[in-house]
Amino acid sequence: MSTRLANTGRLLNRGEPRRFTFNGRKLNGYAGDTLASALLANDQMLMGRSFKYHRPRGVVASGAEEPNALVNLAWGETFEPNARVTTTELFDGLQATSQNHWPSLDYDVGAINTHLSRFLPAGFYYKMFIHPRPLWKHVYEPFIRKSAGLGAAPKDRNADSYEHFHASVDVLVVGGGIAGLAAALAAGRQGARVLVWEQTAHWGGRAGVDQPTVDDMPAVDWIARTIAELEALPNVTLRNRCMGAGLYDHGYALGFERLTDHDPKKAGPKQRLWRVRARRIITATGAIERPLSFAGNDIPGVMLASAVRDYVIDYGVSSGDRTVVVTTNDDAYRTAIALKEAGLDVPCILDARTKVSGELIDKARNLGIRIETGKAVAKVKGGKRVTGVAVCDQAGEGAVLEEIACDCIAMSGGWSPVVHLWSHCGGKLNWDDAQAMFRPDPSRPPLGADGQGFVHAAGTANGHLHTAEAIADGFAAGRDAAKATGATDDAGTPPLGTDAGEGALAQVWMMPQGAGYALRSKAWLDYQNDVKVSDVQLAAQEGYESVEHAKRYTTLGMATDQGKLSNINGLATLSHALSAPIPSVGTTTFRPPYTPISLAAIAGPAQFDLFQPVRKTPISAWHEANGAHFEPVGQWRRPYTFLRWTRIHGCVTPRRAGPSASTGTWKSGCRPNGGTGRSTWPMSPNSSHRSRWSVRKRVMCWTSWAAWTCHQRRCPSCNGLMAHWAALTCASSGFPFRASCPLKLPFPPVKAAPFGMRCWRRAPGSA
Amino acid sequence: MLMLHCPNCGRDVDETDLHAGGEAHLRREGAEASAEAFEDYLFMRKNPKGVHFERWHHTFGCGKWFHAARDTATLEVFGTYSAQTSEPPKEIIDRIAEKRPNWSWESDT
Amino acid sequence: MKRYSVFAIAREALRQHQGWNRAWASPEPRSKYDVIIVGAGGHGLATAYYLGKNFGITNVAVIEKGWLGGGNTGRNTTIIRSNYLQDPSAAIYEKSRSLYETMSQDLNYNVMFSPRGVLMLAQTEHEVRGYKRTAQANALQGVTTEFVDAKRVKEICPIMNTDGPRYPVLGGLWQARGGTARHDAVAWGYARACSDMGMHIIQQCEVKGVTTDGGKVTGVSTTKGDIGCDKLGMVVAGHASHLAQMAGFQLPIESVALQALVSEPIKPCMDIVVMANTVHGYLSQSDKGEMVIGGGTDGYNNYTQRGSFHHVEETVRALVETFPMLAQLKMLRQWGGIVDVTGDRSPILSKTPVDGCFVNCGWGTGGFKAIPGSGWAMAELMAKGHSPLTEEFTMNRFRHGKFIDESVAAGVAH
Repeated sequence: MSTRLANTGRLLNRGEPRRFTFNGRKLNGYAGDTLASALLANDQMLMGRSFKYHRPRGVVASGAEEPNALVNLAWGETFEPNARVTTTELFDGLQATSQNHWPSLDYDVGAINTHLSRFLPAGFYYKMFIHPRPLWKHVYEPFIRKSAGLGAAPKDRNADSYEHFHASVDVLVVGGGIAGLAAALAAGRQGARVLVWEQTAHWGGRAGVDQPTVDDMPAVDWIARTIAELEALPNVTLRNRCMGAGLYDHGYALGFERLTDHDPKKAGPKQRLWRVRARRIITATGAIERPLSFAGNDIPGVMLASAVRDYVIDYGVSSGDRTVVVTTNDDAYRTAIALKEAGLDVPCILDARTKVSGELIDKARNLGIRIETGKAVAKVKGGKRVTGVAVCDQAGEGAVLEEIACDCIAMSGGWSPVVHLWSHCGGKLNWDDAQAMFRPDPSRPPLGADGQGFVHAAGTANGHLHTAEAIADGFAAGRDAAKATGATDDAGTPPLGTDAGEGALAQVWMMPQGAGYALRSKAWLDYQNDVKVSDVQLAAQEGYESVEHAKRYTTLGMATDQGKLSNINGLATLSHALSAPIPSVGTTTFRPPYTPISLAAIAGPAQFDLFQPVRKTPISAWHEANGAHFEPVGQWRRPYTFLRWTRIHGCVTPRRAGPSASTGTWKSGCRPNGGTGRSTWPMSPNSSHRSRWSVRKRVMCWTSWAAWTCHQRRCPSCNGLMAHWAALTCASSGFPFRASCPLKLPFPPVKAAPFGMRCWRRAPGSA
Repeated sequence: MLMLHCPNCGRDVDETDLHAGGEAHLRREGAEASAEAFEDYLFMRKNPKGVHFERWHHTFGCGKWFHAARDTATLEVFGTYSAQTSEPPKEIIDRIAEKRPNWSWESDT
Repeated sequence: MKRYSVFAIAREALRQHQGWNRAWASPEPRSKYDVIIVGAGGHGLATAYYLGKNFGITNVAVIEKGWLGGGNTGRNTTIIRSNYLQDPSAAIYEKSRSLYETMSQDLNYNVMFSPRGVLMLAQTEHEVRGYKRTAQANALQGVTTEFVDAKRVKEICPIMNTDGPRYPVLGGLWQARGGTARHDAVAWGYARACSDMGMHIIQQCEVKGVTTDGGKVTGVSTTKGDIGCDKLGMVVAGHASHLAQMAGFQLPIESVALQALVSEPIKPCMDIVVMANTVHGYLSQSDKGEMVIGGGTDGYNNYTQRGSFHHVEETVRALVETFPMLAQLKMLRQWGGIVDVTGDRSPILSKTPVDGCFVNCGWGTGGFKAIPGSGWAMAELMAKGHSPLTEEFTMNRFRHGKFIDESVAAGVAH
């Protein structure tokens, strides 16, 4: 059972209930909820189906990295497919429906694919459906296409408005966690013009959940104080619900701000695209927790440890009554502690490390939580919901030692810095083996117009996972960036952070270490695209050794989350399969945007009549008064013809006989339909106009045209008539036809053919 | 998204205000020139992966042409200068030579 | 080579897929080959494949700086069509399109060629006239296309707004046999077939220089050492100028960035490929459900594989007006590739001033559709010294004014 807790819920406003529906079911939540937390509070763990095997999928994360829980979101005329529930703020009247299933979320016929999964390994498309040839076009592909896609296709555009902002700043800070705020503080105090973007509705990032101490006060207090100080600075602008979408050359940054997505009744544009030129950019974009690869790690109820913690502390939602924590590092102990303190049951912490010690471990132990070291998950029990976990030794092959009943599993395989923005524009990465992460290489930053680096990574996004380092790094980045833009004022004293010390993590890329094929083929890497550990290993076995090959062959990291959860695990799996160190395998290319942004926002205000507005000359009114029929010439309109007749009598009244030599179409001095702007050229015998003409007119027109054409073009071998007549006739009626001489005579180029065309002979050996 | 300094009006301008005019310092050919010379002038391009001298038109601004020295592989801009010249100013040549030791104006031409 | 079939899949499924072989080998280079192809993209691999298949030349190495198929082959919008205006273009593109039809069977690798139809929208009177002319030229060239009216356009593609407001759809050039294919699979399929013929595909090997002796090519120096050859084919798209410079000649091309993007996957709603040239955008829906969108090129020389965002804006803006439902979709990923553009927007398949050295470049924004035809023609050119398909595509045609002007048919302004 996932349910709402009575006491916790930092971000909730329990005084303001919100009503919404999921698959038609009427449900309740509170202001401050995300759709994910509200669904969990209503015990709706099953939220979608995966792409390939249609496996049941529940929410796994609590932020932008969520790959599973995507829904069709409807509100009035607005319809948004593939909306992430974890970043959708709850509002009254929201209607969500789950995706990619038939007939229902609970009973999906497509789930048969999961039973056929052994026949559908990585790259099976490339190996099957080859023979017989016609079946691909007429049977296989239509079938495959039918099952493609996730969300439903929208029917039409929405009526909302969108806008663009342009800004030019000294320092752009992307990320409003403690590192980003410290950077903004340092840069702002020095007098630089600063713009800060935070993708969520709240400042402070994870510090609000984990509650470290900053400047001898709880982090939330420091955050509130810092926001107040920044708001008081005239040279600093703060924007939340604004995501840094992409970094481009010469200090150009793209921001995506959601203005009324969380409250559609509010007046004003729905979304706003920021186009910013910044002299220095600080990416304080945080880090994302990694899942662990064990059999059944995709069953609804298996979640990231940090997400389980977020739901309890931020939203007052328990993801399950009994939660087993599986980890390779100390951080996940915070989840166990938070759950225990909220009065929930934590039957066991399975730690893959053989030796553990430290503050957090002691605290967990003192709370009476059972800690098993050197242990791993052999297999998760359950179908549409976790029912238990089979425990084994991490070092072994998965012999089950015991089974623990539980309905939630909180996993943590360590943290990966969000290096997307750093990498968009050419920033390079280093592999940090101690922390098992790719982190920005400060000596190889993205280069600006002057050949100098213009991006500074800061905080956890720079690989500093602990509060003290992260906040100091953020402050230093802000200070240096502002200094580089010429700011001279004093940055003041840097904030001092402290949190619980943490021991080293263990690099665990497969659980248990010696898992056999049966387990590996149930250990998921990419949840949305159904890529398993065994798939990546198969890719390596078949020679798809480059990380780009493996990605494209298996579709790892190509889902809507663009591999935020799966890439590093997949990479490590690949490097193990190749027996090569992880850095030598490298990463795939990071491309904008960080998370998907709406096409309407990109189009901005230039929609409907504002899309390339018609330009008129001073004489335009005269043209119109005299019956001009216009044609577009660039963004201008030029009179194409001045209409004398509004109706055509007979076949056609050409100005001169015969079709124009330059275009092959008939030319006349008139347009037939009163200038409605729609072409109804009746003069050429093309099939498209047939319906408007009587048979007699058509034959007359066509005969004269064809005869003239044949007169003009002759094949020297057979005098042309047959070949050209046939070719043109068939082409105009849509028959496949190849121009060739019917007498099988050689068909040399016509010397004096009109329109500079020639008959060409088919190349020797061609089909 | 490039940003170039227009030496004619003295502003840093966005790429959307500019129109790219291709390789700079081409020698215009007269009517008496050979087909090869015309081919060189009209079609043959250095298209280097590295330092490139190019023409830009400040279309939505002062409306004048200027030249830029830019690295096509990193998009670094070494400088912009007047279009009324047959070769780049010395300070730009020196600046490029300092940053790209293997490059020289002589070998480029 | 282990043949791919449904039976092979079933057999392997029962033994945990242990029996699959490598699709291609990763050999160390020999000291000399008969032919070296620089560039293991689609065009390079196809050239090697047809050298082996049509001419029995298998002592071939394909050298690749990065990973095979990692250039424009792996980053294009996969459109296949042959509705070009000029005879030489129509010949090579139609050859290519027809080879695509049987490629999966030839290579025993499903490249998912999907002849779903390509529609080029006419949104001005000028385009109407141009496409009618193209349709009739195509009829003479043996390429099946037809000009269809706005009503038929709406039938073929119901999600399109044919009424404007800005540029109402007046009709379109419809090629029913055009379509798309899975781009990576084309490169992989050729690589597997080449490797099977005993050719060497050498990845992660950058060419640093071209060695010549008395005006004749003798080999290349690479990061994996010097490799000798009798004939050298340069098939490196955007980097052609760079490589030509090593061999000591210049090419009439410029390299610019072309951008593309995909939306998140949605359920099928569009079964054809649409190109809208007036407003610079083209659109298709992949077999995975993503809307694949291509736009225009940057105007300036660029080797960074990144473009300027305002081009994406323009493309999206135009397509939202033409396909209003797109407004509610989200852009998942955008990227750029480096395309090599010639003065007349037609490719160069040619001998070069260096004896034994051949060049294949200048495909601009339309190289993917030409992969098999280009490989076929290039192989013939390299093996026999001449090929009817490449006769007009010499690098010297600009000197003599014998342009093959396809700036309209290329589909994208550049």
